Parts: sequence; structure tokens; C-alpha cells
Amino acid sequence: MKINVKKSLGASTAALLLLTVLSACGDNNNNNAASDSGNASNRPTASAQASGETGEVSDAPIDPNAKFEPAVDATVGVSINDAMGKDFTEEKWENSVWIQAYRDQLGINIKPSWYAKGVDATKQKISVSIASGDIPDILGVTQEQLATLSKTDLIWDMKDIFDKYATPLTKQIITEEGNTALDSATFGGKLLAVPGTNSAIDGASFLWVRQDWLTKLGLAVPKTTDELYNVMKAFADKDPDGDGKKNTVGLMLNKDFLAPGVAEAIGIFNAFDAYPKAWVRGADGKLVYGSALPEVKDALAYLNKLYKEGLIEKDFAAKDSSKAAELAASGKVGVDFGAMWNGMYPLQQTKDNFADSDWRAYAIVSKDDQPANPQIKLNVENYYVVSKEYEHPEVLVKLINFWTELNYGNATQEEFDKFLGPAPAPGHHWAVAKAWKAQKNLQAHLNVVEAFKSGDTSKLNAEEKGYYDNIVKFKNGDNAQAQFEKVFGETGSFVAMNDYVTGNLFKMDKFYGASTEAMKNRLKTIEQTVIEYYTKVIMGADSIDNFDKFVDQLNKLGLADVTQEVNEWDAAKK
Amino acid sequence: MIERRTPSRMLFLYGNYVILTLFAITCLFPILHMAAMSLSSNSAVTAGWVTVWPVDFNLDTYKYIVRNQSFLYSAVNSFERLSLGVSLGLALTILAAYPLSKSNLKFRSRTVYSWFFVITMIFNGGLIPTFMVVKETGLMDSIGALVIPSAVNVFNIVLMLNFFRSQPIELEESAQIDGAGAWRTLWSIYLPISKPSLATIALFTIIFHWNAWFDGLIYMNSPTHYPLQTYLRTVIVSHDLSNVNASDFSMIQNISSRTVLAAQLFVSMLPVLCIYPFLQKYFVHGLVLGSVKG
Amino acid sequence: METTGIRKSGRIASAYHLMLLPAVILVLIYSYGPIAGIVIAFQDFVPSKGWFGSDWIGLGNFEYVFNMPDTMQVLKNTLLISLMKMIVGIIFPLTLAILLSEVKNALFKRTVQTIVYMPYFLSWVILSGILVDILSPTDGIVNNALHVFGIDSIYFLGDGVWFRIVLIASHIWKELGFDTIVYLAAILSIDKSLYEAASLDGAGHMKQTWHITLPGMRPIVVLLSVLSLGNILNAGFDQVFNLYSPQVYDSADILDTFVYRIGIEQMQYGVATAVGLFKSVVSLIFISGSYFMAYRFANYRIF
Repeated sequence: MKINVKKSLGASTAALLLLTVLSACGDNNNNNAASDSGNASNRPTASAQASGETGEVSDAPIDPNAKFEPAVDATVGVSINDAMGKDFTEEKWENSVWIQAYRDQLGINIKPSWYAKGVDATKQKISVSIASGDIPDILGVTQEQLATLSKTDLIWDMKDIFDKYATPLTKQIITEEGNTALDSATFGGKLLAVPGTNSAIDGASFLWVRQDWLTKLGLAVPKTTDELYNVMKAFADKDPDGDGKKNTVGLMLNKDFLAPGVAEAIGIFNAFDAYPKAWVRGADGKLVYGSALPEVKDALAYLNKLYKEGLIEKDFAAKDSSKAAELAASGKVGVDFGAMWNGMYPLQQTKDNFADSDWRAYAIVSKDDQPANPQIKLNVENYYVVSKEYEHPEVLVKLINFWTELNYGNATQEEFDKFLGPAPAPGHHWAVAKAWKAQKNLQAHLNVVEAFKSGDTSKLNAEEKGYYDNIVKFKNGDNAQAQFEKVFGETGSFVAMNDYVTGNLFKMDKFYGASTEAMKNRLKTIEQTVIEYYTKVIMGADSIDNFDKFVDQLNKLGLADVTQEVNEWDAAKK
Repeated sequence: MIERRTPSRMLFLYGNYVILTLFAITCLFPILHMAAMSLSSNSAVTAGWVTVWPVDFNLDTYKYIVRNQSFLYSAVNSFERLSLGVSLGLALTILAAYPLSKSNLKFRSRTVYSWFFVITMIFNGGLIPTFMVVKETGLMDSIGALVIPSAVNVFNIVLMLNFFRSQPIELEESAQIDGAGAWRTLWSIYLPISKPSLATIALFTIIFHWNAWFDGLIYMNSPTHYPLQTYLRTVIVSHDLSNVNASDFSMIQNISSRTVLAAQLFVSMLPVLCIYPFLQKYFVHGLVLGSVKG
Repeated sequence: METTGIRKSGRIASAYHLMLLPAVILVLIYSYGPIAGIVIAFQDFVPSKGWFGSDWIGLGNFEYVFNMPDTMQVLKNTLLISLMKMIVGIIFPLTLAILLSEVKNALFKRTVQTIVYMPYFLSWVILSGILVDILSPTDGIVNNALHVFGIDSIYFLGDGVWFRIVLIASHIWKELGFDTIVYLAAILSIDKSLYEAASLDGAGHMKQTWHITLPGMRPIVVLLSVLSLGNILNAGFDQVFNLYSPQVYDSADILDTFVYRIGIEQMQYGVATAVGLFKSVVSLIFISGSYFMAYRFANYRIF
């Protein structure tokens, strides 16, 4: 639907920039691991291995990056997304530098068994492929599809193969946020897929505040919910925009305030130690659903107070995030809870319209003097499976090794740019298998800040240098580049992110398995009931006194079943 | 009979013209709106200035779509599908409808055959089993997957056999007295008088093949083999950008602007819009005769 | 003489069999082949084990479906949407046909007819593209027009109630002209002398319409309504599928889209097939019933 496109477009525009250009960070903490793993990209010849090895355990040392001699074929399913361009052609895909490198450096001939255009078509293609029991040799699937595949014997148990062939660097990246990614691909003790990891921490919530308004009104950066209340009160009452009219509000909020992104309330819930939509471990060791825990009552009461006093827009419940964000563009709001990329979208729009405006990101506030825990969840982009009929399951691992080495290993800048640099390099969408480092963007921030301190930009990779140059432009007066400072610069959101990480503050969603049966059927209704009740409470149409009734209702709607299944999953995992 | 022109009658007649004109405008407006958008500049469209007349007239979108390989490929596929599908469909319909139009006396197995076909109007195996059969018969990723499984249309057979049956029995009897066999009778007696029905069925088959999109999505292994409507579907559906981590800037630039989409939609309607008015008198006739809606 | 006759009719019969052969073969493969796949409705279908290798679970899939909370809502949506379509699908074309029959100017009549037939020939893919654009809450022309009258944007395709209204309105918009064809023919077939007699008796046009035209069309209206009952569970997959989005599932999900989502998106193939089979059986009952009634009351036969 159009509106959705628009809504997410804006939101993503910014996030995209941040999240997807790649880094070849030469000097980060992966160095040691990387140097052990050898260099796939610069190794045209390697010790020839007995071909046909299929993962049976042998004592002979294995070179994970050895080239196949003779070369082997591997069929794949290709999903064409919008980012791959309007002028995508199959010839182009089959002749991309990725496919050439797989062939020339690894001895793997990638053969597409189908192409599908768009999310929809891909889902259909994979679904009918699985139904007819005929999947490509290597395929990236979703968690749901993996769950279905787990009931069949169509795919390899990758456990031994992964242990044997994954380079230390690959292993380190995939287990960077603990074993959750691997666990989420493990069914009945079998590792059925190699998880293509993505950053979880980049989804965390931040407190964005108009620093210029704080300064103007002589206020300090709020650290607690009470201080935040005073700040919002002042923003609404004391005419921070100086137009003589009482037309500003404190908090920017959209109707779907439990969805991470822009103008959400997750940060406020987290401030009160409440974790809506997340599964947290209760006192008895069982997993419980955050939306139904009593802690949310404090957060709801707080939001209700804000609403009553006009610190939130009267009709926030009718605005999606892009509509809510218009408040920022028109300079009528001073506080926003949202992701680290909010500095690009939508807050850059404030800068465009009001040159003196200055949004800053801080750690979310807390109800007391203990820092709050921002909630995050496991983020796996793709689960890569290998068809049982395929003789070389290690091919998949080698493809991922190739990716990690290129991105995070010792590949030269030149080599990196060939694949992932600016056009004509194809970019990451054209790679067959990949796994991202969780802290890539954080690392970029640290390196950029370091470069500003030392004045030495030689250690920056292409992506980081881009950020650096844009921040320099901003400092020289180009306000259009303020967004880079706001995210990656010395005053950027990643400063707070770094505090989250070093303080080990994240609250990880404890459930990271595939949707359970009851979840598939009930969770949607449950989530809807939750947001309806929350909204009513905030707007004063319902009361927190009915919270227990509300929880009963959730349980009747299936939350009890879902909770039971989640705990069964939790127990089985141990 | 002479019309009595009472004032209320006059009011009704004029009111009637107005109402019918409004009806017609409602049908025409969205299509004209699309056409106008496709010929306007993007900024005029975004500003909401375009109704049924182009603003900042330009042909950029059309220049773009004639260079757009995917669009062109799929248009070619659609025409290929159309020519194969329609000829195959017509041939099969005629051949099946003719024997079934005979009375039970002349063709005793008729009832068995009829039930054989009718059952398929009610029961079908659903998507997955059909997919498997198409795959097992080796049609995947070929034009065959689009025209062969759907080649026999029972509705069309019923339409056609009702037409055959409405013909005077003497036609056949005189032909047989002349010694003509079943094939000759069908070919030289029945077919020449079947033009209206054939035109109707041809039109329905054209519409079916031109408008089908789902099978293209399921059976084709490559977007270069998509027919036009399947291609359009992939352009129209909402772009799921919820997982922002996995996307990048060029994605936004690549999402078709409204004007380009409008142009693609408009061009895709054109062939059908050009054909049906000329077949109007046939399908009106054929429909009334069959009294069965396609 | 007798024998040659038999031989001849035998020869003709074999010609008939031969003519039917191609269609029979194709139907056997592509219709009956997949019908055999219905067996998976009774299985815990596991793709790698095939149609007959999976575990048989009797009516387990059906039990599962009827215990799902969504099922009743989906059935309700399906019936509601298709009944509404059916009712407006009679009233509007009937009215339009009567209005058209009153037009004396042949050119005008033909022009209007040609125009109102047009939407029928466009696919739901194209129509959904158009609808999504003109109904967009941010910059669609419909909402722009509403703004002129001081009305706030309506998110037609994102609001459950509006979505159903859009479904029914766009359905009637597409089918309206085409559906008048049969009604127009019925009006033309009414005995002209009846009107003349009424006219002599001093009956006005309204009266004539009420007492002659409408009763004269009753058989065809009854017949078409009865026949349409057979389609009661077809609420329009193409239309809904191309227009809907998760936020309106509650009010817009119909049996066919439900089957699609269970089957393709959730990959519960056995369950999806069970729902499909359920739909076929219920449809069979309705279709047999409606054709039986049509046969009894209107002497209508498909063959």
C-alpha cells in the first residue's frame, strides 16, 4: 500500500545509508582472528583437497579456504530486490564479480535455479519449492521457512561442517552476540542452517532531544523520567520556538508506539523496566511476555499524565510514524524516542527547515538512578540451508568465509571496493551468502571520532571516510550533512550506543526461535489487543486498574498457550 | 406508439441522461486519470494538480518504459501467451463442445463426458498439487505452463455447446445425407455459422490470458519469463522495507514513481481496451445466448 | 441398410470420441491429477515424503482448522462480502438496464454501454494499481477531493470497514456494465403489446416499469440469483489479494486468501488443502442445490 511505502521509505532512507555500506575495517578487534584464517581473496591456488568430502570427520587438518579442484557446481535461488536496480538482468547477475570470484578463487560454479522478483514472489517460490521437495542446493530462507524445513529431511545438519570449515573470523562474527543466532537455527540438536547474522543493537531506542531548546530554557539533559517530564512540560509551555504561540508539544508519538523506529514509546517503557512485546525471564526462571507484566502500568500512567497535560498530540493515535514525524519537520516537538538513525530521518528535516535546531541523542532515561536497559532482539537476515541431495555442504560455509574475509578480514581496500565499493561494484545484494557484524556501525563511529582526534584519516575505510568527509562538510556549514554528525560524529547517537555496549545494558528478547503454532495464530490478535488497551489507557478512555482484567483477556486470547509453547521451547533448548 | 411528453416524463428522460452520463464518467474517470498522470510531470502529480488532463505535458515516462527491459520482455511474453493460448483454447473448445452438443441418442457417452468435465468446475486440487503436476510434466519455466493447464475451459465449452445445440437439427441431417462425416459437418457446416460464439469465446480467452498473473509468478523461474500482469504485480505490491537493515539507498530511488506506474498500467490496458468495442456486438449476442457468464 | 446405418453412427461416435480426446487428456492430467493431491488434506504432509508417504491423520487437519480462532472470522467475512456483492450485483445492473432501455438515442445508448463494459475487461492487478493510487490517504485524488470539502483523509484500504466498502464498490464498478447485458436482453424480449395495452389504459411509464418490465424480468432475476448462490464462497481472490494488507486481515480475509496464506506463507500444506476441500464440498452442496432449484423453477439446464 502506498502509505506503507511512504512511511517506511522515509524511515529507511536514513537507516539504509547507515547500515548497508560496508566496512573493511582493517584495524578492529577482529584482527587476530582474521589473520589466522588466511586470505581467501588473494589465494588463487590452494592445497587441493580430496574432492567429494562431505563433512565426514577426518583427522587431517582442513584448509577452510581451499579451492575446489575440480570445480563444483552449486544451484541457488536468487531473490531480486529493488536495491538491485531497475536494469537488473540475469546475465549481469551471472557475470557479477561475486560469481566470478566464487568460481575463480573458490572453484564454485554458482548456477541459479530460479530468480524471483520481490519479497512476495520469493516467498511463493521458496514455499512451492519446499512443498514439492525440490530446493536449490543453497538457499536463504526465513525463520518460518526454516521451521517448516526442520520437519522434512530435505536439508543438511550443518553442525560438523560448520565447525570444520568456518574460519575463526566467520565463527566470531556469527557468535558475536552469543550463541543465540546458532541456537535459533538449531532444531532437535541439529544445526539446520547457518544464520546470516545482522546487527541487533542497531534497533535499540534512544532519547532524542532538541538541545537548542534545552539550552534556551536553561535545562539540563534529562536522566530520569521525572526530569524528562519537566523538560517536556517546559517544551510545551514555555514557547521554546519563540513564536509567541503555545503550539509546541513535548513528545513525538505515533499510533504504533510499540514498533521500534521513529516516535515510539519503547524507550519510555524500558525506562520503567517494562519490555513490551519482548519475552523476559521472570523470577521463577520461566519466560513471560513483557506486554502483560505489571511494570508496564507505571509507564502507562506516565504516558497518560503526559497526554492529559497536552505534552503529547491529542490525535497521536491517528498518526502513523511518518505523519507523527511531520511534527519534527515543522519544529513543533522537542523529544523523540527512536533508533540511532533518527538523526538522518526524520530529524534532518528539522535541520533543513530550522538551521539553528540541534537534535541530540542520549541514552534513554530511567525511573531511578540506575541506567535503563534498552530492549533489543536477535536479528538474523537469512538462514542459509543446504539441500541434502547436494554433495558439498561445505560450499555454503566457504561462501560465507569468503564474505567475512572480504568484509572484515585482511582484504585490501582495492579488493573490497571491487565488490562492495561504489558503483560499478555490485554491492552486497549480489552476494550469495553473507553474515554481518553486529557492531559495524559502532566501529565506524569510533574510527571516525578517532580520526577527528588524531587528524589521521588513513585508517578509515571507504565507508567511514564517506562519513568523515560529510561531517567535515557539515562543520564547514553544509547543514544538509548534519545527519552524519548526528549519528556518527562526536555528538552522534553512537556515543550513547557505545555507552550501552560498554555498560552491557541491552535487554535481549529471550525468545529467538521460530514462531510456535499458537504464536502464528494468536500473536497478531494479542498484539492488537495490547496496543488497543495501551492506547485507551494513555488517552484516559480506560484505566490501569483494569490491568489484571486485561491480562486475563490476553490469556484467553491465547497468550497462555503461547507462553506455554515459548517455555517448552526454552526448556528444550537447554 | 407516440410518446406522451408529460413534464414528469421529460424530467425523467433528462435525469436519465444525466445519471447514465455520470455512470459512464465513473467508469472512464480512473482510466483517464491514469493516462493523464502518465503524461504529467512527477511534481505536478505529487502536488495533486492532475485530474483528467495532463499538467506539464511530457513523454518522459513513456521514454522510460520503452527502455525498460523487464516491461518489454513481459509484454512480448504476454503476446506470445495470448496467441498460443487463444488458438489452443478455441480449438479444444470447439472440438469438445461439438460432440457434447449432440443428443444422448446420437452420442451415448455424452453424459459420462459431461460429468467428467463438470466435476472439475467444482473440485480442484489447489495450488500445491497443481504446481507439482505442472512440474512433473516438465512445463516449469516455459510458456506451456501458462497455456496448457488452463487450455480446457469448461465454461467456454458450455457456452459453445449451447450455441451448437440452438442450431436447427436439419443442418446436421442434410449434411449427413450428403455423406459428410462428423469432422466435415463440424468444419464446413457448423464452424462458418459460429462466428458470434467464437468471437465471444475468443474474447473471453484473450481477457483470461491477458489478465492472468498468478501462474506467471508460480511457474516461471525467471522474471524475464513473466507475463505483463505478473510483472505489474511485482511493481505494484508494497515494498516491504520493514527490515531496514538489509536495504540501501538505491532502493528508494528505484521504486517507481507514480507517473511511471501510471504509464505502465495504462499501456497494459490498451490492447484490451482496443479490442473489446469491436467484439461488443458478438459478446452481447453470445452471452445472451449462453446465458452463462464467463 | 440397417447395418450401414449402425456402422455409420458407430463411425460418427468414434469421431466424437476422437474430438473429445485432447480435452479429456488435458483435463485428466491437469485437473484430475491435482485432485488426487487432495489426499494430503488427510495427512500430516511432509514434502519430502510425497503425496502418499506422509502420515495419515484422518480429520486432524479439519479439527485444527475449526479450532483456529481465525476460521470463523474468515467464514464470516467470506459470506458477508459475497452476499453483499450478490445483492448490489443484482440491484445496480437491474437499475442500469432499465435506465438504458429508456434511452431512445441509439448513439448515446451505445456509447454508454461501451464505456460501462470497459472495467470488466481490466485485471485486478491493474485495477488494484489504480485503486491504491487514487485512494491513497496522502496524495490520492479521492482524498484530495475530500480535503476540498474540509473532510479529513480516509485511509480507505487500511481501515477494516472502509476496506469492505471499497471491495463491494469496486466489484460493482467492474462488473456493473457487463451484468446489464443479460437484463437488457430480457427487457427487449418482453412482449411489446403489453406496454401498448397498458399505455391505452392510461398507465404512465413508472407504472409500466413497475407492472410490466419488472415482472417480465423476474424469471431471469430469480434464475441469476439462484445460480449465483453456487458462488457463495467465492468472495473474489484476485480482488482481495491484490488490495489487502495485514492491517485489514480481520475484516478482509476470505477463504481463498486464507488458504493461500496458510498454504504458501505458513507452509501448512495439509491444512491449506483441507480448507480448500471444505470449500469445494460446501460449494458442491450450494451449486447442486441452486442448479436443482433453477431446473425445477426455471427449467434451466447447463447442458
